[in-house]
Amino acid sequence: MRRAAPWCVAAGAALLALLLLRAQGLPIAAALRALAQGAFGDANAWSATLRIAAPLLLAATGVLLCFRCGLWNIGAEGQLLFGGLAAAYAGGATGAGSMALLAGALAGAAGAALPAWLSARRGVPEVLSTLMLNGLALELLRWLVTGPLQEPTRQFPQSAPLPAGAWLPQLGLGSTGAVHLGLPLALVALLVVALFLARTRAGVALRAGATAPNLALAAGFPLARARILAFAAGGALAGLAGAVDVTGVARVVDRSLAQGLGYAAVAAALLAGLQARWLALSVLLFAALQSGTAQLQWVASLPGIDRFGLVLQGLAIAAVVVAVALRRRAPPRPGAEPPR
Amino acid sequence: MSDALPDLAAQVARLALPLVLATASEVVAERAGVVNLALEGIVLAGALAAWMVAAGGGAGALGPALLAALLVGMVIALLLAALVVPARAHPLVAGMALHFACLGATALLFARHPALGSVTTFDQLASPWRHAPWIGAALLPFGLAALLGRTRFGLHLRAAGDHPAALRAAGGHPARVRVLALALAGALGGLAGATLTTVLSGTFVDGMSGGRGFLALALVLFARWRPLGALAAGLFVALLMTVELRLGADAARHGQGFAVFALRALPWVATITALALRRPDRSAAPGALNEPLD
Repeated sequence: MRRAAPWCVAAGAALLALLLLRAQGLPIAAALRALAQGAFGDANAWSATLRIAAPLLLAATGVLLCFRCGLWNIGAEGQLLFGGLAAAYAGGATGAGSMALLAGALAGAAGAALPAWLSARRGVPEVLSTLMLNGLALELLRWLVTGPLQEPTRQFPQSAPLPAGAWLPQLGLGSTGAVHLGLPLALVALLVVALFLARTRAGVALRAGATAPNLALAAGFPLARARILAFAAGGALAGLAGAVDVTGVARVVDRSLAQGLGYAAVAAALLAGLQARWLALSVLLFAALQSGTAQLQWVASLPGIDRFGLVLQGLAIAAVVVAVALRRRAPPRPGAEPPR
Repeated sequence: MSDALPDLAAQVARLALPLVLATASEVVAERAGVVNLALEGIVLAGALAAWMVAAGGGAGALGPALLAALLVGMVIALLLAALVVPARAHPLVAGMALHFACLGATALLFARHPALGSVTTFDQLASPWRHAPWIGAALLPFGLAALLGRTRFGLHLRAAGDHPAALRAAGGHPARVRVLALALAGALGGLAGATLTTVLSGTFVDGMSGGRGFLALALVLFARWRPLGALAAGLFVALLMTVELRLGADAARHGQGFAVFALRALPWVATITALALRRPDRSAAPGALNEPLD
């Protein structure tokens, strides 16, 4: 029973999702086929999926790093916006892709360092400060694309296109667009973060500090400073995600920057159960959902069906949450009730 | 000037209405020991539910609309309770999951039914019922304060958030109390959403909660986890937003981009600044916030 429960929960969530589709008047088999076609049907579909996956994996890796250290950084969306805006500015000013990426990472790190410092020194819950910064970053984007960053003719709410020198190198796949350097970059970042958490003294101490701060402090580990640095590193990865998206795909910044990508990164990290080895798969799933639902909308011409992915995101996390909770056995404690 | 002051007060009250309800909702949830991160989604779902029921239905549909919003909020909060209490999920993770689900489901439903029509708002009623939302929202914090402070259930609720083990030792049921508290919080959150569509605007816009639920999460700290504090915090932030709206309209008319940005960003910046300047005070916060039950 205990072993079957997670699968029952997952099946239940999937069933609920399918019933929701059916209620919208869409035959389930056709919907699933369109979804799969849009995500993996041909080279172009793969290209679209992987183009979403690259920044998503970068940001989700940053979220995973923070969450594993007990830092509730739900500000990936804001850090991604800061990074994208900085990359657009630096890329336009210097014409160099490397400077754009560096600026993006730095801006993301700065956007995360503030809540990290506020949490460590002023006791401000980082859940709240990162949420507030998400709101601030969105307002900043809206202002910059109609103000200082606006294209020279002042006609459209967007930045001037980036010079070709600032474009991210393309790896080529499909005809509509290509996979860019962001994807290998993200995979390397994931590997580095996984090794850091599992194999280094600082990584182990940070993870221990998430549940037992006194233990890490007693071992003489500078926990407060390390937590600020980890938070900033997570922000840097989210900022890099924004930079990669701007320099690799759109090459211009408008109001559609990010659009929930940072929240999806949180969802992907949670779906992976905060396990680095599952993260790439979970990111691929969410990226496929996004590119697949776009196809679904085109095939079925159902307005708003692209939002279906968001519902699935939530249901998937809920399913994983329950599955993890059911598999985790409560540690025996003196005086606790025996398990039923 | 004689007209300006009541006018200003009315605008503050309009902006405060959903904030006070949402903050009160979060006070109830957190006093029972569970942070409800799904509140933003609940407010949004409540707004949509009320709109879908009330649209085109005239004045008679307002009651059912409020009821629908209340029930939808309650159901979502009970889902959170199911994830958090028996399944022992971390409240922030479970809340995030439900927030995403609400965001997607409301956008999907709204896109499928975009033109249901507009709602007869409470303000348009001729009967004395037009004052009901205002009186209700003004009295609610006092009612909640009495519930938390003067009743046996309130005592158990606070104990479930402060020291669940003590509640259990005294013969109480922390799990049951947390579930009931979340149901109440969900109902209030749904009503907060309903005020957006049935009192303030008369129609639904995708994402119209606009971060009010998230703002309420921060306001709980200023309210020091007290219902009357929720009233004060909601009114104060509404005053800030009123000033912002009026100055913002002026700035936009004069084409000052930065001024518009600065004013629109003001609630976020002001909240972060106030949180940073606040003297960290652990004594006001529930002792077992977000801690699972044994």
